[in-house]
Amino acid sequence: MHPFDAVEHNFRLNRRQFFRQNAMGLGGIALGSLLGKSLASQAQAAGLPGAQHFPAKAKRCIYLSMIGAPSQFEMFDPKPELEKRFNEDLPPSIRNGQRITGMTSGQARFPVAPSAIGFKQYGKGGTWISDILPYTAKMADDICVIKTMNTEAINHEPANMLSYTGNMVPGKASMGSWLSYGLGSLNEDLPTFVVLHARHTNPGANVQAISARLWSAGFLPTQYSGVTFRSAGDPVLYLRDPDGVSRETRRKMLDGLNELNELTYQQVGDPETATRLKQYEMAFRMQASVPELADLSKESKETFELYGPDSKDRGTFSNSCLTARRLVERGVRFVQIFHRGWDQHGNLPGDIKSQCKDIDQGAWALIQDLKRRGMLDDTLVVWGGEFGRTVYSQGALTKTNYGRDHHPRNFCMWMAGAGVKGGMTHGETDEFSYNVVKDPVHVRDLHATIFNRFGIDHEKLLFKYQGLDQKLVGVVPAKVIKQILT
Amino acid sequence: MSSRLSLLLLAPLAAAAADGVSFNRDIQPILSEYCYHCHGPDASSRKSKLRLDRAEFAFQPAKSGDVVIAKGAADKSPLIQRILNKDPDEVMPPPESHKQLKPAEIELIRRWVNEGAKYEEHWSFLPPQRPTPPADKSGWAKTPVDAFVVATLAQNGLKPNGPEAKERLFRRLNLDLTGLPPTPEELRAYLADTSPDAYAKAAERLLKTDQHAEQMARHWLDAVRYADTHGIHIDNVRNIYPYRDWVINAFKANMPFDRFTIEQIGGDLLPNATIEQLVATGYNRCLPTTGEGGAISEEVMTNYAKDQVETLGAVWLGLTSGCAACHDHKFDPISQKEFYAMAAFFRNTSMSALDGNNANHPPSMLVARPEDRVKQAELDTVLAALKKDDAARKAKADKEFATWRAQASPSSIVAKELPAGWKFDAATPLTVKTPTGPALTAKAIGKPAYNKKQGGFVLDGSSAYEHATLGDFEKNQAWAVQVRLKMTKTVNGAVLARMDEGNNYRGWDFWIENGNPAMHIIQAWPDQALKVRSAGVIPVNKEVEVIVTYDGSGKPEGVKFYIDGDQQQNIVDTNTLPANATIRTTTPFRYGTRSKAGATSIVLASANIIPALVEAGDVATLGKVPELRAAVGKEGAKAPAADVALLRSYYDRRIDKSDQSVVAKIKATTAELDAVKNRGAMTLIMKENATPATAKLLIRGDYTQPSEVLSAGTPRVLPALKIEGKTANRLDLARWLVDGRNPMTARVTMNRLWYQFMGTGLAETTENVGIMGDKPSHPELLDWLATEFVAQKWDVRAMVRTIVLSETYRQSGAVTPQKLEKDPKNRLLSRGPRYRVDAEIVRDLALSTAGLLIQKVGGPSTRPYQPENIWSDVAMTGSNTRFYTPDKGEGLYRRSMYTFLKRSAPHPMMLNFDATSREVFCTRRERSNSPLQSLNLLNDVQFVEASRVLAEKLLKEQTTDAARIDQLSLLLLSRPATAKEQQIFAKSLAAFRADYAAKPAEAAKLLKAGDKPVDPKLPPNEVAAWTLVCSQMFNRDETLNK
Repeated sequence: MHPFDAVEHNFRLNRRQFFRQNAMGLGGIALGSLLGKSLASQAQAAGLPGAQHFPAKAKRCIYLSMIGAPSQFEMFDPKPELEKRFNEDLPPSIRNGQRITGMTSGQARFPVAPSAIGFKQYGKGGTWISDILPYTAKMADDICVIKTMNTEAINHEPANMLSYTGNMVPGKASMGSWLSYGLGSLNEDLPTFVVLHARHTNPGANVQAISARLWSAGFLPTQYSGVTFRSAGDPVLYLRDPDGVSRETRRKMLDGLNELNELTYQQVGDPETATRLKQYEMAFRMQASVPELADLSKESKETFELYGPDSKDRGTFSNSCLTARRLVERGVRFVQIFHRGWDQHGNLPGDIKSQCKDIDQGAWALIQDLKRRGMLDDTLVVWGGEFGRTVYSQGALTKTNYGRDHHPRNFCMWMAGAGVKGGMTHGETDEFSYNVVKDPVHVRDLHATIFNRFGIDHEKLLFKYQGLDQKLVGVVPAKVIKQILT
Repeated sequence: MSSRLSLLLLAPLAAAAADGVSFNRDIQPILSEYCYHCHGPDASSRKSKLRLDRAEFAFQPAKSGDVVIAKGAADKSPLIQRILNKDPDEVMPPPESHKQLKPAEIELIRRWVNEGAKYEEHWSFLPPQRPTPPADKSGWAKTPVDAFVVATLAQNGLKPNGPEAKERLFRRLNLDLTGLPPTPEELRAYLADTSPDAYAKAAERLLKTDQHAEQMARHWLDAVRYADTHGIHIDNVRNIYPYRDWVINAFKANMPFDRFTIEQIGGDLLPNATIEQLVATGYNRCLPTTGEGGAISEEVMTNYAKDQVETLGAVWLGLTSGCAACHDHKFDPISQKEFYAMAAFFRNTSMSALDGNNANHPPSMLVARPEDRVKQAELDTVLAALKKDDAARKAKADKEFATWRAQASPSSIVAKELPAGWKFDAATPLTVKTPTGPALTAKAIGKPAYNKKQGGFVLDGSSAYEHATLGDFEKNQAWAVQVRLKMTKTVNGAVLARMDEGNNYRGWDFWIENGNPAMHIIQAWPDQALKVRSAGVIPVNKEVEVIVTYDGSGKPEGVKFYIDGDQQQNIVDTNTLPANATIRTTTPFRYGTRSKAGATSIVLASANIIPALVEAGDVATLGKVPELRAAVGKEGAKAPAADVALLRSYYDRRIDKSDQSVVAKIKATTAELDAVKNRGAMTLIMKENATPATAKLLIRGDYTQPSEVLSAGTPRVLPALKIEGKTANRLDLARWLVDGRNPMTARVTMNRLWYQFMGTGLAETTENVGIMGDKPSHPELLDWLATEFVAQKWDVRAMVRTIVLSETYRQSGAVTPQKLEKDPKNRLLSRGPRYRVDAEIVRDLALSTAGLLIQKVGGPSTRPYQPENIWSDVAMTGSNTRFYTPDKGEGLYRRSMYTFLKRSAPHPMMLNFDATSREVFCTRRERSNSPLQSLNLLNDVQFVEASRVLAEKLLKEQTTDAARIDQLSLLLLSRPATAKEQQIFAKSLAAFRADYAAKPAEAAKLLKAGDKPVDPKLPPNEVAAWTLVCSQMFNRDETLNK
């Protein structure tokens, strides 16, 4: 038996005993859970090793989720030779009978649409980056572009669920929840897994729906769900005291409440009562720590310059990136920023420029900011959407305007930090960016790789549900992309 | 985690030493954990042809030819030899499984083999046997339930708790049965009743309340994943609340559980199914569905069927049957074939895979209000008779038609004049003829002009002729527009409109979209609006007559389009206009634009706005005069059939007077029927296709890899399905679940009922009592309850009564260190159920004690206060649940079970307290305890408002601080405050008074929370200080616990 297996095995048994002990004792479990003191730190408290199976490279992760499926053709996968094939039909040998969505399956033709946007090579690695990503180009040597991501899903909803919960149907646990459950928190007064919604600026963008199922705990205990930090109103729901209740008055109110709850605990002896008492104190502390976190006024002028003028505007992508840095700095384990509006079935060249402008500087600034603070070494940053887009145009095609339909067979993502090789491009696609030619990376492989950075073997982080050992990657084998890791 | 936990907890390995090894208790958990993956029910992953889960296979020779278990001789059994082998290539389980048996487990297997390797059927697959309740020497047990409980306690060296305090028990009973606390008056009456059966009488009274039906329904709706949106992708509104009402009514009537099951799963297949039975089949429509553009039907249908089988599996069978979608079940004896045979029951439906984001995704039906149903049936009968008369009359009239046709001359065919309207002629644009009075004078906006060459007013997008009073229609009025126009290129834009673009597009217009005529009828775009489009387009550069008629119904089918007399197919773009909407606006009517902009490239020759109902038949003959005249000229039998049909339609409508009277009656009856229906609601139902129910087995669950076709059927491990007709259908399935032979349904239902009252199922995994499910803590009690349930003819209320009248339920909830150690989770039932109430009860407690709760039963969902952007942060642009507008008045204060449930963004307060998004079945909720709950209760406007309204009530109804605190305590805790509590509250109150005396402006701010106005006669500082006292009480642990 592998030594880690023994650890994991004992750990799973002991965790249960630990839960019981805790339920009997101080009731610290629920408090610890929201604080993220889950599997690992509870285990440590019980004198057990953590959930990590090998040494971790990453302590935290910021995942930049581009909802709607950004086109690889206009960002990271140049195909200049397609210029010559403008408006030619996609050869059947390339399509090879692949299924097509209901939106273009009725089209009489599948005319090839070359990118209206140019590319150049950047950095020591010569990474190809398009002209509408000038800031990303500056960090070519910080990031590893994966050109051969692929997925089974051909529509947004199942594809997003697969990307973020490992399964195309609802009810499963999200990646952030798994990490919270497996690793616990690095802080005392903030959640472990935080979700931010960044706005897109183009009012005409084709926006896809998202839902809490992308950051919910699914079958894991609910305390591992992502907590949304909102861009309007209270950053955390119900955080602010009502108008007319000062902090001092609230303190007095809680003091009285604590006395009442202590009476109940003395009479009934239920540990949950003690836990509740602590949760009220935690809530009181969060009322201070969360606004402190959301308050950017102490950030330097230089930092705002780095993130750009949008960064002072609450809810922009840049602002969300800056907030994400503040979150991970304070020990939040997993931050996910959702940016919508990437579903360009029509008017792609115009719309994608606006989308890229939204995210370009913020993403670059985030990497630079982490780097200068020495945090990029142990912070993993992931950028990408749920699938790619087709080489053929959806709807009318001109040299400067066209649309692209959903394409699950290959798409681009990038990763940076936590021992991911910068200045590298991984994988190759065919001349139509329609098929993977070399080094395919399935979404599950990405999941395995992210877990690997955290020192977790994706086959071994398990949770028993419906009698089965559930895993983020499911039952199909997944592999870590070793080539891109130092 | 529970199977192992309870094994450790309830069946310590040491038990085997005393009783001998039991397969179910000791061996199966080990084999399922370590061996079944390769040697279990799943044929596809089975290694070496060895199957260990059932006796009929375990003693067959494996691939090697060996029988691996030698009964009575462990050392000679290859099973044991392989387990003990040190060679990594030989040892079992193999190293790559990451699993290793512990010495104690190996010892158990050895002993089991030595004792003869006796297999047992898994407990839940065996029919429940009626056990005799054990004798209780202690005299504590009052009911059979108690006898089982006290016996188990004694085995574990524990004694039951004493009875709960009378007040607290009464509160528990009220919260459990109705989801609401008792009022102080009810409490006083109960305490005053000293008769021995006072408690039983109280239970009996509560069991008959509407609130009890609501409470039972709420649990059921969790299990069947009821929600108000379709769920996936655009997440629009779904109309299905009549199903929720049905569930409430079923519990109110104490419908037996067998009928309850049959009507929901197969109600549509019952002979002469009633409206209620059809509404009940909404059960089959609660699943999340998608309308995502581009989704592939076969894939979607596959997912739906899996969800249906999983839900049925969890709710009735207690089996994780979905596990068998991709391969044979790894642990339970359910093969992949059996899974698809189950799926077949749910695939034989007219329900389309893609729901079109349509609230009424067919099959659906209009359900009249209960009080209208007799009337509806009568009208249906009358209408059917009239239609028969009409048909008979038409048949008789054949001869008369022939006579007329022979005589008719082309000149006798004349168009019927449409009802009088406002007539606009582009050549004389400023004078508009009116139906009755003198002509109106229109006003020119911008530079409209008559273009003689084009023959009309050429629209430029901003110029228009305007009149203030014209076309001021309400949504429930019928009107029509008759427009002659020419389109010089395919365009988008309004041609005629009375519409205020600045006020959410309130009003109506005649609109052209990519050449298709369309009409908008709008209260507020797009959430309260009707938009219907013609599928046919207006030809370019040809003058045509377009007629749009609207019947005042507010429904898409009430709008009809005709281009040169030909009726067009409708495309429904938006159908969100509420029944009580108003579309009237003070914005003037315009020819050429809406309030701001209009179409271009349209040459408008004339327009007639008709303020009356225009019928299809009238329009059809109106545009067909030349064709009719030509047809009359054609001789007798030689005339083409189409011409004869056209003439016949003209004859029936215009010449045959007796026919006209029947048509008029049909029209009147239909209108009356429509009125009845309009008072009702649409709801989704289930319909079966006439074909036999079948499904294809999908290799690895992949919809692109279908293989053999399977007929609907049930797993062989359970009793055989009885088939009434030629092939099995949902009704057979439903009857099979509740025919009394099925060992699962009664057990699973009683286990869930036990969870509902005691907080944990007897088997904790209420959704799974299969091999990997939790073993029951009290197997005999579960079997007793299951057999009792069937013996009581599936009487749910009787079983609820059985539980709440037991001494077990009536124990005190106090916890001692000894009990925490020996019975930490109360699985042994050594104390009464005391735990945090569900999300809905938390809110209903606050509303009811404040006197805010509106106790109206059933009806559409409500929209209470909700923080901003909860919906819009996640919704798609086109979703009709993108923007959340809280209700005003009553809708803010209804019970939480009626709160609108948007699956992709449920109410955050509900989620904070562990309610689910209803995307998958839920047969048990978690009970978390988090700081987000604290923040929610302290700061959410609904709790602040409830605290303030309760404060006002206390100030008005009681005269002293102490009396107010006592009353507060009576309301929330069903007991007066203790002296110590009085002290604590008095101290807090004094502090709050001092704070607000120092800053009275702060008090005024606090009182503004919520819509309910504060009583201006009360001193604001006092109300504010008491608001915080009430909030303290709402936040107390004792308040939140039952």
